[in-house]
Amino acid sequence: MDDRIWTTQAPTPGTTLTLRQCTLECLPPQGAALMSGALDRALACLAPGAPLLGLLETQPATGPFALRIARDRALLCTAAPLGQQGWHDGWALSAADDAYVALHVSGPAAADLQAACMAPYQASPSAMVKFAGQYALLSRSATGFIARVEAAHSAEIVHYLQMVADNI
Amino acid sequence: MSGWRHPSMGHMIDRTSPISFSFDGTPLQGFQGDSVASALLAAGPRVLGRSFKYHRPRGLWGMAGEEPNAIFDVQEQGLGCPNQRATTLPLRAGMALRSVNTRPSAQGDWLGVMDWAQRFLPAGFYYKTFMALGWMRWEPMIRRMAGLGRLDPAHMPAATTPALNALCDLLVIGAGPAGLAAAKAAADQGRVVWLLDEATALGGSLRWRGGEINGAPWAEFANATETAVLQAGGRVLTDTTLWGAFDHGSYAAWQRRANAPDRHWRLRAQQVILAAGAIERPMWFANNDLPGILSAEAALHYLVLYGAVAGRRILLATGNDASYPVAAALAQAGAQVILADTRQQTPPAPQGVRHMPGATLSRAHGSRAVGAATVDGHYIDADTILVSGGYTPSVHLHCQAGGKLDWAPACDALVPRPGTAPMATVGAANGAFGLALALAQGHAAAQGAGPAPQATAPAWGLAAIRPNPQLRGRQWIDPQNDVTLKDVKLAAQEGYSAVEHLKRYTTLGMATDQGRSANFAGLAAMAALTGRSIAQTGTTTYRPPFVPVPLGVIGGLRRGSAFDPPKRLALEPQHREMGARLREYGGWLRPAFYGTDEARAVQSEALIARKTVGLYDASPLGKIEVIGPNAAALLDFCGYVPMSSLKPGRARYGFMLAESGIVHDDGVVLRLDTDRFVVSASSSHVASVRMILEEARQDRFASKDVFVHDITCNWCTLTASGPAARALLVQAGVLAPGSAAHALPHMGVIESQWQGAPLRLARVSFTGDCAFEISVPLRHASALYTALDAARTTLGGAWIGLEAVMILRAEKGYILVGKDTDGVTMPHDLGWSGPRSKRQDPYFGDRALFTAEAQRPDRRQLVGLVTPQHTPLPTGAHIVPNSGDLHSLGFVTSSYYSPFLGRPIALAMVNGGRDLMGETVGVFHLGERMQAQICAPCALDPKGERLNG
Amino acid sequence: MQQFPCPFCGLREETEFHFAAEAGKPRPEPAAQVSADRWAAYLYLSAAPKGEAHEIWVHRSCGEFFLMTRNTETRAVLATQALPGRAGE
Repeated sequence: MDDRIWTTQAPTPGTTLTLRQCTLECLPPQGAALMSGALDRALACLAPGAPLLGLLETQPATGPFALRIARDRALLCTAAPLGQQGWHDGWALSAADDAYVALHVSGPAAADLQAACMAPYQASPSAMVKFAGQYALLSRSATGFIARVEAAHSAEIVHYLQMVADNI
Repeated sequence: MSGWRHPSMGHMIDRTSPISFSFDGTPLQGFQGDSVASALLAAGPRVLGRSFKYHRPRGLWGMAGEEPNAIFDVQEQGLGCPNQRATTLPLRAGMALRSVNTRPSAQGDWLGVMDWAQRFLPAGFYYKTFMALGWMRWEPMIRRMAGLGRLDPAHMPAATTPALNALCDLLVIGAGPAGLAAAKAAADQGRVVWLLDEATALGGSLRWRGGEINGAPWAEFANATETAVLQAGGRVLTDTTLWGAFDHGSYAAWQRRANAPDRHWRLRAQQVILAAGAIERPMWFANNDLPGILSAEAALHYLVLYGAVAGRRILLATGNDASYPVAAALAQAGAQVILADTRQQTPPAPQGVRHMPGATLSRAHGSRAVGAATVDGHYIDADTILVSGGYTPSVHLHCQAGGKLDWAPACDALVPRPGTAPMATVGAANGAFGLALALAQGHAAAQGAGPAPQATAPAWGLAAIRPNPQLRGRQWIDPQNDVTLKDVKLAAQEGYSAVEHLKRYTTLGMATDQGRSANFAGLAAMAALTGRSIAQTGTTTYRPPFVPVPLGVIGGLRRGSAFDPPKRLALEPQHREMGARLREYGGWLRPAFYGTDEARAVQSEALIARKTVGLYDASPLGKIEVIGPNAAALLDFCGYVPMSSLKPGRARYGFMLAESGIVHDDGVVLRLDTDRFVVSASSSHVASVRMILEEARQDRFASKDVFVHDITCNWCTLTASGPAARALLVQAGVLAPGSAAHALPHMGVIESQWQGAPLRLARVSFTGDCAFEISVPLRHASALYTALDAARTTLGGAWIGLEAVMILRAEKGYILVGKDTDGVTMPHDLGWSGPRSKRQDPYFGDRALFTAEAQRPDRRQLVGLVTPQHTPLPTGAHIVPNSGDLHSLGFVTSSYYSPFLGRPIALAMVNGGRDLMGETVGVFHLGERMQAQICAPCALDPKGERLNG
Repeated sequence: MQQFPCPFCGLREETEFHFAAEAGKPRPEPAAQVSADRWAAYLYLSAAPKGEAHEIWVHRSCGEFFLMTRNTETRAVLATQALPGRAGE
């Protein structure tokens, strides 16, 4: 296929796109790490008191939190990179500060955009779902939802969200 | 010209807004609110198209998706859309309708001569005749003569239909009386109800039949239902066709919106109620396909909703009570109506209607349209014949969901067997004809509280009507596919008596109306001909879609750039700025080369990389971290080359096999620490390698002691390769002279910092030159690019695309899995037999490497080829003996011109190739046999001295 | 669209899942003692029953491999179960 059709660019971190009936913010990169194993011990060590969130649960306005991926894996989200990794007696940590791009959709059409991108799941311990054709971590903000998508897919998914908003 | 517009009836149309449109070039007028069908009926043209096979004139029959004949290619705003149903298409100003399968028009179609040849064109004719005569020769002509509309190649509608997922407590399909009662009952109890109907308004048959519910006009009940549904948080969607029932209770619906893009709904519900109503059956008599023969129910529909009157001298032939209000309404509207009922015992005749009880219609007369009819031997003058052969419940969705049917003699129809599909079917779709019964069933299915909505209308009486094989003349069973009763007889005679055979032999029910009006007659006729009951005869399988759905709706937004989009590099803007031509490689959009002249750019890039330094974006290389005390053991089991003996700070090349012993992927494993590895899977295999590791971890290892993290997307990796690679890194400030990183040996890996960013350096080479893979987190990608690019400029290096990298790796004989290997390649075929001969511990694919097949000496093996020619050998060309018999000994897998060596190079897989070193073989391509000499795969620097820079 | 219950995540759509293997086929080891026939049977002979089937599937969203019992004829999912030793984690 001709490369010239794939000209939409990944959003610049920190920018906000105004779509029909909603806005799409590409949140600036903060800190993130994949942690596996004894999640409770890892959280107690890295971010005491941080909540472990399932699908579309509301992430706290401030402070670290973890988005659960699997029985024994989660993405810890922090304000800045932790600068730690490796094996820690029962849990493993990998820096993933830039692996995911957080897309925040808010406004009246946010629910429709969500309905156009994923199955109508009501609750799940894992925040990882198929979203706009790719795997993404879904949480909620006070005003909409946040999809953490793999950085390499961010251009494609932003483009898709724009198409949905234009035609919803 | 028989249809006419009533001066006052028709509440759907706005007589103050006339709309102009055209049919086969003739200008016509309708009103805002008309459907294309109602406008045509009122405007008068009778012949709306020509039939599929015999080019018989055909006119309007029905009122919805069951319409077999009134199908047009519609031109609007310069774009053409084929095969649109007049009955489901709202009239819009400026529409140009063209009849389908006609030359030049429906009125004067010269292929009408086909009808005279009908006796020579029985079912199976094309197959029997043209297969014998060579189908290929005749197919284009037959295809031109048959078929429906024509595609307009210019018509490429924009991808504007989003697919939306939704969940509700109760999904009600159909908003006729039964559906309304169900929706109201559930919404009144606070349940979230979605109420769907394919028509533009709620009410179903109430819209034209009228009626009172709970002592008030039915519209009040419909309004109250809509209010209750919305208040409970549900939705009411009109112009929405639920077109498919799929696995595990999922449903697809197509919503059409005025002045807004269509929507495609994917619905799930805790409970589903099907209230799709019933479709009127035709009657079977000679020439029953003539234009001017309509469904009686449709005639009432057009009269009441649009004021479109089917004719002036109307014969209504029926066998049921439902036709009596139709006759009454038409007489009242000013038409002459004769009502012929097959029954002796009938309801009283409506006022102003000539009644013929116990009378059977046997023939329609007319050449292009109805002019008269024969009823019980009497010649009756009529410009229009309305018929009602009974009603067929719309059970499609029940059956699509796996439901079974039972024969119900009381309503003369097949009805859903309860409990066989995950939905309840109510009302006419369940054979419950009559308002009171429909309301009661809908209410009960939704577990309504209190008594069901009340209505006084009695249930309908009906007589069974069937095709009569003794009757003279052609009786059409399936008008859209031109199947007659004679064809069904022929199928029965020739042994195609099972319904699925009947369908395929005669094409009965295979047209775009899916035989809505035809299938019952076909199976009833087959039952009669074979002496079986209808229940024994059965039905064909019902499959989605319920109505034709535009592919644009199903494809949704996934078209063009949104169809399977590749992954994107963080530095794509920089690559584009440098003139990169991007292509998809292993699911990623990557620079193929820089510039416009591909051949020159690729050669130039490959040469500069050998002479000074080449830089390329290797970010898609997998970074799968394997962490924990069991990490080495997991990698040993999953890999062919053991990694437990690898020292921290070192890298090793290895393979991952399938259990069949086939090479699945190759790549480098970095050991960063005793219990921390990074698997550099090739970019297209990252997901599968991660899954192989996960499966072994969970199934075989103590899964608490090893974990797998794919963090490929976290990193930007740029590779510097060439004699000046180290100098470039020093110049860019990445390597400090005298540092440990500066002295990093080949296959060494080190983690450090660069301008405050985490940096990983690996001396891994895919080119055979001294090469560094430099990785930083994505947020630092731009800074790394800027630093390396500045240093590259001063050193005279170049950015190189994947095409140049392909040449560099082929010069060294380095393989690309999937290009130089295929579905039978094992590691020892590539010269990697060490682990196979040494390893005793279990590993993935171990036993498969020792099957008789794996031990054959003549397996295809990786070799190089030298050709005396100046041009590269064609990739994919077969290796054949140098002379004599042509038979394949293998094939060329990679072939390039090497600018550094100044000659073509090639890799090939050849049977027993390693024993053929130095021998001359043939290379066969497009009839030509070239010569080549077999050599070692590595064409450049076999001792590996260049690796040291 | 089928829905399968992941033992950890709950009900999810089939597009998030992959079939992995038929259940109850332990890997024959050590390789040196495995006959060619036994290995071939392990690799290629599937029961593929019509009706109740026991299979290993993976939920790709969370990466969990699990046991699923389902009816291949009606597509009814009869049960899913975490692999031994996984559920408690």
